Amino acid sequence: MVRGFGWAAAFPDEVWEHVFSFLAADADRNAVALVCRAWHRIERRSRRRVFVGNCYAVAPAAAVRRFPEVRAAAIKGKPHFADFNLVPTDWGGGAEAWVEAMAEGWPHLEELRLKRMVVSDDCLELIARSFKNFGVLSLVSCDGFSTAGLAAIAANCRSSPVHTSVGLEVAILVSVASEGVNELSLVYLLLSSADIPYLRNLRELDLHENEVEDNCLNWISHFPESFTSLVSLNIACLEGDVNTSVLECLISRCPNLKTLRLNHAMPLEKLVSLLQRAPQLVDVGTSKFSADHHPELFSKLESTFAGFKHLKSLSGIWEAGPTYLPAIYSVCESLTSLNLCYATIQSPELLKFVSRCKNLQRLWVMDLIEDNGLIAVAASCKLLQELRVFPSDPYGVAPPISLTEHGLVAISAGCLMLHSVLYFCRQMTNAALLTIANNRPNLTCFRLCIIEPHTPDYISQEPLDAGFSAIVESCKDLRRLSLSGLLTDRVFKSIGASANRLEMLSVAFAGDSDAGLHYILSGCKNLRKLEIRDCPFGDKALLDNASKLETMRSLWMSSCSVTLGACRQLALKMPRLNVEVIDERRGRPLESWPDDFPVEKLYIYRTVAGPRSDTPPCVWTV
Amino acid sequence: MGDQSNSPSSSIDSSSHPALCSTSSIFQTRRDLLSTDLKLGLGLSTSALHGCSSKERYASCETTMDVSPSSQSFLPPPFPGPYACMSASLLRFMPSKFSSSSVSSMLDRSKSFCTSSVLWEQLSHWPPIKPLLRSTLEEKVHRSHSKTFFVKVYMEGLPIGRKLDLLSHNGYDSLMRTLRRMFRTTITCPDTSRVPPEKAHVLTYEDEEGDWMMVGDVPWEFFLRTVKRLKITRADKC
Repeated sequence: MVRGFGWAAAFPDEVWEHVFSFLAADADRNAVALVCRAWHRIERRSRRRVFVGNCYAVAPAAAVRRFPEVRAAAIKGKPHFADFNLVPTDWGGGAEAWVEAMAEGWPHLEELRLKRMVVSDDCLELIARSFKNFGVLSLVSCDGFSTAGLAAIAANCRSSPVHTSVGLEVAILVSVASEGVNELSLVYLLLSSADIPYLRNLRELDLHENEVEDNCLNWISHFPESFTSLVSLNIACLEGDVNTSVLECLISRCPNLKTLRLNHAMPLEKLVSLLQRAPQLVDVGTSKFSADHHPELFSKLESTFAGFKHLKSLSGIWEAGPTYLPAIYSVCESLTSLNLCYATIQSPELLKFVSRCKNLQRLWVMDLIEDNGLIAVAASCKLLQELRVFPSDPYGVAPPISLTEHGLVAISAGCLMLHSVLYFCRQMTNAALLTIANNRPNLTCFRLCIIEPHTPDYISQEPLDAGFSAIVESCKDLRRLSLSGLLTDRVFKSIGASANRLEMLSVAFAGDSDAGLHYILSGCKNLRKLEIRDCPFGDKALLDNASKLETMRSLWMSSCSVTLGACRQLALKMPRLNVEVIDERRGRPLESWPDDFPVEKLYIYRTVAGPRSDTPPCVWTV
Repeated sequence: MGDQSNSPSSSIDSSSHPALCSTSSIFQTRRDLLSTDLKLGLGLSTSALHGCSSKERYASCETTMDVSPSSQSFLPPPFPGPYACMSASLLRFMPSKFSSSSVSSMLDRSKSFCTSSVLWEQLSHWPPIKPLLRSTLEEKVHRSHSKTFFVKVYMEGLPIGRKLDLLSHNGYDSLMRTLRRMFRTTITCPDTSRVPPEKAHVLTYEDEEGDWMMVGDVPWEFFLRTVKRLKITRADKC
């Protein structure tokens, strides 16, 4: 009766399950699963959420088998540098294998979130058909599908007053059971008919920054009339026009709609009439925010936005001009999140708008805000936690903008709750970085991109080692860091020694020698993802720290100085790593290349699934 | 493509590292060089340059480390960005498998390509901005380059006028700066009066109704819609 550790059997499984339900973090649940067989069994049957950071780290069937009762899954595919076109388009990250396995093993799946994966229309159709109680579909930075696939999703949406199809079947069966067998079989036939899709409650359709082919203009009209459960709709990444009247009907019949993010194509007049139907919105992404000045449109816009009593988040605002922005001043006070990175308005108007947003926690803006704007933000937005400043002119063709290190320093001084920064600029000094580090030791994410590679401290002409070292030494909780500017091996020494909580590091055009990479790989205890481009890092550091790579999720190196021989050695030494060599130029197979052949792009990741079977011609698993 | 004559230094000079120049000089060079249409830069294929292996690009990074930051005797290179790096490094760190003839032909090809920072971006997908933002910005640039609105500008006392593209400016400040440069005179805005009246000029414009108005009173977008031509007149006349 008592096997292994007796104490585990002291309580029935349901009690342990209940205890484990308080463990949200995957790391905690993983730890629990290692204690004893009983706990392993109980934990795996009770895990409801699964996060797969690298879709090739485990075979889909294995994941589905291990955790049979999953309700929410999140899967990531391509390496992060795919966002910047560094990964070949046919590299992989296809979602079919996962969706097929999930359709088979997780019929009760409610939430699916895919990031940087290739999702085909067939995949979308499979998702539409397979999950009875599907509620949330989120596709971020994916590609491979079209609006026809979205039409399939939309068409299969049904709202039902009963939450499970089984319940409905039972209810009908009970009511006709007394009528006799014929009626019973008729009803059952109706319910299980192939023509009737599964009953579902789609709440959230989130399409964020995907590349979607536009081949089905009216996909929105495929949502049935009975569909009313929508809570969140984000179609900001779609290129084509969306039928406004159909959308208006959809919005009118979904009383719980809280998030609506539209795409660029809708004209401002139509946007206004659309938004008028949903004053309960909390998160709005507008369409194009520019038009010729019409006083009537201005006042309609003004009254529509004045009607938003609960608006917290605003985005979109494509091509905003100073004409219509003042119409929405009324919402500024309540905003906690503002994304103006597609609004190419100049500093004075931008400043007027942003400085009214006293409760802002997140601000994404173009560098058109300039230093003066950021100084004003630092004075007015005291609750700011996250700031992202994007370059309006990354290729240096327009007259220069006055956004320098001073803006960021001002923000670091004025916004005491600031913990996340992404900042594109053209100049930086060590002194500024030191000041920022001292002002904000609570930074958890610091990403600085000085647009011209190898830019030194513009006053002292020194490398920016001292500045970034100060950042990692002062910000003890730093989890994410991106380096730029002129950097020697010294900065990596500091990072390796001090960045104990660092999980993700991005390096470009930095370092002098292998020592740089060695410092990182031999330090940085919690490093999960390392991505490097155009640095003089080579074989020795990689081979000396081979075992470190198994403690990380992945390593990307492109345009560095790694040779094929080192990759071969690494693959031999570490069988649980997939060492993928990516080379788009050559046609000959990998086996014929000599050991000293320079590797163009390298992607190494730990896996229990072995080499993958879907590598394209330009990728070789060594 | 690309005007080499505006820089006195040879491009093959390892000390002329772009990053060690002051930022403003880089902008200067870039703006001068971008006489070529931006569309041309965007449409170029980079397949020719794919012949350069990663080793050369790495070598280009290594070279820059060798340059002493304290050296002040550098001049802005004629071709900013990778070309300056690549050309210098290719001479010093030529991998043995590449013959000098193939390198020089590569150099010739790259000379014709490496003229703008747009290509720098295409070569190395830098700076790291996401595709949606990138395409929004490119579209904006494309739009701003394809649309022009030239108006005549006369200065009082000069019979020959100039022409100016109003759409290449984003506001009154930018317009004033360009006009000051064009006509070498101080033009005061309606609300600033630092210059003595006898020297000052003010900027006026003729609107669609034929009236001459002071520039700066109406919003920029509105001004663009009504302006027909500009005139710089003496302040004491207003």
